[in-house]
Amino acid sequence: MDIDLLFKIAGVGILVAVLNQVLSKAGREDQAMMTTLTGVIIVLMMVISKISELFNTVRDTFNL
Amino acid sequence: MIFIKIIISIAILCITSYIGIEMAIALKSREQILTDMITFLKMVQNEMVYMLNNLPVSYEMSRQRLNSELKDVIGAIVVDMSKYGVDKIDMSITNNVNTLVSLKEYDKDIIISTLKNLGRSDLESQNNIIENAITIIEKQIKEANEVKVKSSKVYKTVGIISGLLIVVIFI
Repeated sequence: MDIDLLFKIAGVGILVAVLNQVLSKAGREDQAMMTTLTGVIIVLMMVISKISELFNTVRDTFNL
Repeated sequence: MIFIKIIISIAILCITSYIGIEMAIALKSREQILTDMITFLKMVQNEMVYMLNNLPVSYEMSRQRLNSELKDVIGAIVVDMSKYGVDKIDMSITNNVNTLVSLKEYDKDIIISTLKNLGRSDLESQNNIIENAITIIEKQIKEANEVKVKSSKVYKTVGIISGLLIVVIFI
């Protein structure tokens, strides 16, 4: 597995957490929540191909 | 290849930070223009009440002390006033004040209505119009200051972090 993907996910996570804190402290909780959701969606899109690979591997291993 | 990636990353970060900083500066600009408007109205009041100057002269004398974009806007209105007369410059006032993009619609409405009503009644009424406008604009300045304190740091931070996010995701 490409280690760059892990660093990207970690980077996105840290930046989204910081943005969440900054927006919450400024009283914009709605925008903070939207930012967090956007971060989750971005990370999911980044790993979706790996998840698909995992399911295929499980299917092949157990002959499902 | 890595060198190009670094240059593109720095460019993206600079652009997003610049956008954040520009939005923060626009908040500061709103407060500055409203403060200048109060200065302008007080000086027009002095010119009319104590120097007994007419409206174009009062505007021209008063606008010299301004520091923001309002100075050019009032200058354009004075030019139109000399060309078309005090009664026929409603469109000019509306068009020129609408060029002040940092102001909210409500701020522009107050300034437009004040400038339109000046020069159409006696001295005492004009004095009252100016006093009312100053009271309302002072409240707007307070609100602009609160918004500036709350939001300018947020815009700068969000600008920088958005740039970093784009760099991390795509590069």
